[in-house]
Amino acid sequence: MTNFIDFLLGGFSSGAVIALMALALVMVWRSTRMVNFAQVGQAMFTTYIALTVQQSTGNWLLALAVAMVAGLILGIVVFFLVIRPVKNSDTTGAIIATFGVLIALQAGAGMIWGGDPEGFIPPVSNAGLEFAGRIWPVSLYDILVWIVTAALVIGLTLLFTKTSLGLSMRASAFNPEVARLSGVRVNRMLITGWAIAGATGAVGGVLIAPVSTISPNSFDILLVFAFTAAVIGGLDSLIGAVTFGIGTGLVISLVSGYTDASNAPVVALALLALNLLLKPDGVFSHHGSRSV
Amino acid sequence: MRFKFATGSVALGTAAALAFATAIPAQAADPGVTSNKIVIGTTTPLTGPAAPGYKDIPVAAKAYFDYVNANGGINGRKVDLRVFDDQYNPALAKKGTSQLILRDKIFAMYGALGTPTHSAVVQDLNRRGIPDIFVNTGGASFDNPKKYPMTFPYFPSYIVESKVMGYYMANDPALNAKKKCLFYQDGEFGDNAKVGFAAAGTTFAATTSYFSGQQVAPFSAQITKLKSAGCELVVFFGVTSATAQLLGTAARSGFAPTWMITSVGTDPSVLKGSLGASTGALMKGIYVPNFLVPAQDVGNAYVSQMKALASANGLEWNFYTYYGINTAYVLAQALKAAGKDLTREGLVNAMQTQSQNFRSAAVVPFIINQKSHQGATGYYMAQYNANTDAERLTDYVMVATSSSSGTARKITFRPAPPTKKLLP
Repeated sequence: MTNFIDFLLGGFSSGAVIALMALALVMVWRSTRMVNFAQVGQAMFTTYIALTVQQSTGNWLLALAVAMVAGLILGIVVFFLVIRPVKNSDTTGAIIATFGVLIALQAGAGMIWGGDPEGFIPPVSNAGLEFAGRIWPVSLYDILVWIVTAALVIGLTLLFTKTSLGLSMRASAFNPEVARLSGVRVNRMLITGWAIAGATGAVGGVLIAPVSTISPNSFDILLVFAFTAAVIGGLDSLIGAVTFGIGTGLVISLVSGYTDASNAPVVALALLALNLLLKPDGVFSHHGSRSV
Repeated sequence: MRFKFATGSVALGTAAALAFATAIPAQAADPGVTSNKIVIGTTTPLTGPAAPGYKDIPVAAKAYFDYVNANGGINGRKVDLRVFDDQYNPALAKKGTSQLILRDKIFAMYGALGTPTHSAVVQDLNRRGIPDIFVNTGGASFDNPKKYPMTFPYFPSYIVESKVMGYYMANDPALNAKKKCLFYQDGEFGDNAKVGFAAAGTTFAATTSYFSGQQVAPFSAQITKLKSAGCELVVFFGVTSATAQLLGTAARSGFAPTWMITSVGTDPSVLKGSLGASTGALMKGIYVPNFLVPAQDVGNAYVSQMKALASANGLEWNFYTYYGINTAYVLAQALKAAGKDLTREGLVNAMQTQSQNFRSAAVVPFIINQKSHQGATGYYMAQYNANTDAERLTDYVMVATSSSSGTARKITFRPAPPTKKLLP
């Protein structure tokens, strides 16, 4: 029984990390109706910037802030340089282009920071908490990650549902022509969406780094799981992304704990396939139909 | 198959001789060799997730060949090493190997890295009759002279390594008394380990695994499993980035068993980047098999000269640099032994008949003949100290002369000193 609780807690922590990346994917979907495969690359790049700041100043909050700003800027740059020129003619082309951006970012990071994995020192203790005479697989740092994840979901949900900016963004993504006719500056909204997604991914990267390591490819596998979570959650549901991000973490943990870890990716993909068969719009999606 | 190959090359040789008999006097018929140059190729990850550490190998080998070239080359020929970055991707390894064969017209392949990557090209290399020297992997499938007459592994297979680990644990009373557990990477890497431990008769109280890439997040579930099973000695078969996650997760969970880790999973220079200041404390006491003279043993003639060569080229002295220089040194000796009229057949012949004369920093015997291309046959046991140096624990070495059958046994072996100035 204690094993079961440990598996759940451990899975919850790694799931929070997947959830953060899934959130960024959903942000891009909400604002542009496309999947950004370069998201993990952008997060990796901004995390390297944060690492450089932390190594030179020792200030984690400053590193996080710089990463967020860098993520914002990088999101805009990627949108302007790559996505907008391609997307006007072809959304599929734009999605493929995000793969190109991912490869370019990984190569660029390798040239700047080298290929060796580096550690990222957490702002609070990462040691398992001692309680009731044993050490649990949860640290103060894990709790910090949970809090930030929850705050991000609440903040972004409020942005989309309670502000006119959020409404304009959703309108621009859903039907750019009608939105434009209603006086929404569509391009500006798309850029805003990419910028916020970039910053969200940057927060994710900085939070993931201390429990992982940072190298040009270190977040690659996260993309697979974050994408799974985002799709099952319905691609435009923030709460869906978080729920199924954590769910994916739990599945991996339980499968690794009770059977063999090599079964974990298979189980995750089987769940994705099942979901696409039974509820292709995603569990948390409210739309009746969607053209992709 | 071999007969077909033989007639093919005779036919080709005859055709070539007829075509060029009058135009070019007395020159080797094989591609990649001229009177003053030998072109060899390698595929290795220089970028991508597998690059850390491995990317240092071809750079070090090149530094050694440059040194040989500056000292007159091999039988008057300079070695030209062409490197292709395959990112540890089998599709790219295939593309790179074709490019090396067709565009660079290599004489031989050297130090191609990785089991999945090299599996994609090994048949093609053998079909074309291109020597495939010192494959950089412990995958047991490459030692198969019947199927792959051109392919020669260098370091012991993971099966041999686990047989050696099993032998050592069984013969060290303190270790043998501990509750032993196994943690491995899924796929051929971990499967090989399980085969070796089964052969050695090692039984584990618990086993657990991770999938390649899972090390991006903590190994919480696996550590919980090992901890609750009461494991006191954990054998780990994984790559270095996974070792970093393993040591980090275990430390956070207050789990401190005795560790025994595969020789390819503990490079301190890579671990230091991930684990930072606590690297020494976390690595202290880890058992690791090794088959080269300890890298910190600067009193040794191999280490001192190879280290000097590395520093003269501005290279960091780590396991991979050491390994790259060492295998380049052995290849240079094989090329020299193949004689002035260098041919592919001559090189393979030299490998199979003269390998006992080749000097290297390896402190274990080699088996390279017509029947077996095993390469290094075993290991000594080492243990990391707080300075992240792996200190040699056994003055003997433990060898297993076959992956497919038998177990490990203890022998004493004294390697010959290096050649003069480390030249072939």
